[in-house]
Amino acid sequence: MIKWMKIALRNILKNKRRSFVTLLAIAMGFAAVSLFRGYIHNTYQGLRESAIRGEGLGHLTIYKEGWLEKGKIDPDNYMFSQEELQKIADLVEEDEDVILATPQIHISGLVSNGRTSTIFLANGVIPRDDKTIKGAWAAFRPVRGNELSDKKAYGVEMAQDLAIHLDLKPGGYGVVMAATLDGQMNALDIEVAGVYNTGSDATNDKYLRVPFKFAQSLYDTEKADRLVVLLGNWEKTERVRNRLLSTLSGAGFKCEIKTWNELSLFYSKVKGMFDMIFMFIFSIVFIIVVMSVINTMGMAVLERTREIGTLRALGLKRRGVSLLFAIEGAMLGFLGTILGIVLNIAIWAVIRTIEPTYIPPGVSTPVPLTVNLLPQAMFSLMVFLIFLSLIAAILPARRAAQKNVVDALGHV
Amino acid sequence: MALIETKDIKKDYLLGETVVHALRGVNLTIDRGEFVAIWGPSGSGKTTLLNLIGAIDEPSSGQVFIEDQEVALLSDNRRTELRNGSIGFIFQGFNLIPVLSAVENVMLPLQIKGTSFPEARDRALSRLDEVGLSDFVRHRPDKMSGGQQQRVAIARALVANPSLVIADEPTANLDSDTSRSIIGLMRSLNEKEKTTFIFSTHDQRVLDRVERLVRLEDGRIQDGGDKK
Ligand SMILES: Nc1ncnc2c1ncn2[C@@H]1O[C@H](COP(=O)(O)OP(=O)(O)OP(=O)(O)O)[C@@H](O)[C@H]1O
Ligand SMILES: [Mg+2]
Repeated sequence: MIKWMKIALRNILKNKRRSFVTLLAIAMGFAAVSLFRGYIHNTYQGLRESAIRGEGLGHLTIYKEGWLEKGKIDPDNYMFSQEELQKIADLVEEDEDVILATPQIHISGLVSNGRTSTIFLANGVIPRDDKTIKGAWAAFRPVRGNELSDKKAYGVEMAQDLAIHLDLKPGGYGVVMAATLDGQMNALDIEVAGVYNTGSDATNDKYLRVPFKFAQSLYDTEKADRLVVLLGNWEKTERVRNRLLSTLSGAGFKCEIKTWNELSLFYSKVKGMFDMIFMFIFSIVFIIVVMSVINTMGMAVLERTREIGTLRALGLKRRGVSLLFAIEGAMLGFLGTILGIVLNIAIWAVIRTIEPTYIPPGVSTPVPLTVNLLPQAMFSLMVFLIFLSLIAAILPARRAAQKNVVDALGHV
Repeated sequence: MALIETKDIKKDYLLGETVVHALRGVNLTIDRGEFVAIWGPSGSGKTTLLNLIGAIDEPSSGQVFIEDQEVALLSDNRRTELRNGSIGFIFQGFNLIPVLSAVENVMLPLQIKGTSFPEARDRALSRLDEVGLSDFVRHRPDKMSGGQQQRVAIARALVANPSLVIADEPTANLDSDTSRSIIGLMRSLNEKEKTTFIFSTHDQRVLDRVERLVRLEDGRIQDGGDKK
C-alpha cells in the first residue's frame, strides 16, 4: 500500500500545475460548501431561538384533538376547560425535561382609538410565564414603554405599525371589540402599555399581546385553546413530544402536539429556501470536483498507458492498476480538502474579524454575518470528497486496466 | 521437460480490411538455461512471438505452454501471477517507471508479489551491483544514460529469480558498444545462474555469443527451430 502511495504522491508532485489546479478546485468547492453550511447553521440557530423565544412559540404546543381543523368553526368544543388545563399542565410539568407549561389563547377582533378601527390578532399570555419563555431573548425584541404585567389587567403590548395607524403611544387608551364564544359582541378598554416590533412587516400592523385573563374575558370564557410547553433543551423536542403524547393519552386526554418548527411558518420557509440553495451549491461543487478529478486522472491514465502496460507485464493485476490510480485520486481529494479546510478557516477568521453586516428580507435592522465552524460537518464533507475523487479516478483507470497488455505497451 | 513449448501457433491481425498473418504456424521448444536469439527482418513476427511466449498476448490458434501450463487456459489473474513469478521482461524502450529511482524500479516485481520492503531492497541492491550500477541506486531514470537504464531493466527482470527472461530488441536504442556489453551481461548472467534468456534482434553484430539462433521470416521459422 505504502509503495503505491509513494508512486501516487510523486506523480501528483510531478505534474505540479495540473495537480494544483485540481487541488484548488477541490479546495474552493470544499470551502464554499462548508462556509455556506456554517452560515445556514448559524442562521437556523438564530431562527430557532427566534421562533421558540422571540415569537414565544415555546418548544411544544398542545391542542385538543380537532382544534386545528375545526376550532375556527366550533371553538367552544375544541378548547380546554380550566379543569383540563390544570390537569394537563400538572402532568406535563412532571416530565423532567419540561421547564414550564402555560396556557394561551389566540383572539381576534377590532381595535379602535375612538375615531378609526382596524382588525387585530392577539395572543393572550400569562405575563410571568411569557417572561420565562422570552428569557434573554427579550433584549432582542425590546418593548418601548412597559411590558405586560400581572398587575395591570388591561395593559397590552401593541405592534409598532398598528400603533402608528391608530396614533397610539405608550400610555394611550383604546378599545378592543370581539364576538364572545356565544356570539355576543363584547368590548373592553385597553391601555397601550408598550409598543414593540414583531420583526416582520406582515404582522407589525395587526398584532397585540394581551394578558391571558384579559383575552378570556373578551371572549367571555374560562377556557384556553392551547398549552405552550418550554423545554430545557431544544434537541429533545421530538422525544418529549412523543413521551407527552403517550402520557396524555394514557391519562385519557386526546391531544395533538405541534413542535416549534411546525408552527413557525417563517422558520420552515427560510429553512426550505436555504436547504435548496445548499443543495444547489453542493451539486455544483459535486460536479466540479468529479469533472476535474476525472479530467486530471483521465489525462494521467492516458499519459501513463505504457507504464500501465509495463506494470501489468511485471505482474500487477488489473485490480492493482485500479488501486494505484484510486490512491492517486483519493490523495488528490485528501490534499484538496486539507487546502479547503485551511481556506475555510482563513475566511472564517476574516469574517470574525471584520464582522460584516447585511439586511435580510423582512427585517428592519442590519444583522451581523456570522459563520459557524462545524468540525463534524467538515469531516463528513472531507470523507465524502475523498471518496468522490477516488471513484472519479477509478473510472478512467479501470478502462486502462482492461486494455490488453500488448496494446498498452505499444501506446506512445 | 521443456520450459517453453509452442504448438503450431498462428497469429492474425486485422489491419483495416486486410488480414495480416504475423505468425503462420510456429513450433518452438526452449529448455531451461538456454540463451536464444530470435533473428529476422522487420515485420517477420519477432515481437508477436515474444509476446505470446511472455503470456501477454494470445495466439489466434495453436497452444503455448509455459512450464507445462497452457497459457490460454489460465485466467487473467493467474497469467499475471505467472508473469510475476516466472518471467522477466526487458523492453526496447527500457520502460522504467519515471517517478521511481533505480533501486525502487528494481524492487517493483518483488513488491508486487508482496515481498517485505527490507528483503526486496536488499535483493534489488545486489542485482544492481551485479549489473554494475551500485553508484546509481538513487538515480531516477531521466538522470541515466540509455545503457544504464537498460541495465536497471535487466536487474528488474532478474530480481524475482524468474525461470525465463524475455527481451524484445533490448539493444535497438543503444549504440553498438553498449549493445555488445548489454548482450554480454545477459550472457554472463545466463551462464552464472542458468536463467533462460530469449531475445530478439535484427542486429547481426550482437549475435557472436549466442548459443542458439532462431531465424524467423514472414511468420515462419526458417532455421534453428530445433536445438543445435
Ligand atoms: N497490432 C497490430 N495490428 C496489425 N498488425 C500488426 C500488429 N502488430 C504487428 N502487426 C503486423 O504483424 C507483422 C509482424 O509484426 P512484429 O511486430 O511481430 O514484427 P517484428 O519482427 O517484431 O518487426 P520489427 O523488427 O519491426 O519489430 C507485421 O507485418 C506487423 O505489421
Ligand atoms: Mg518487433
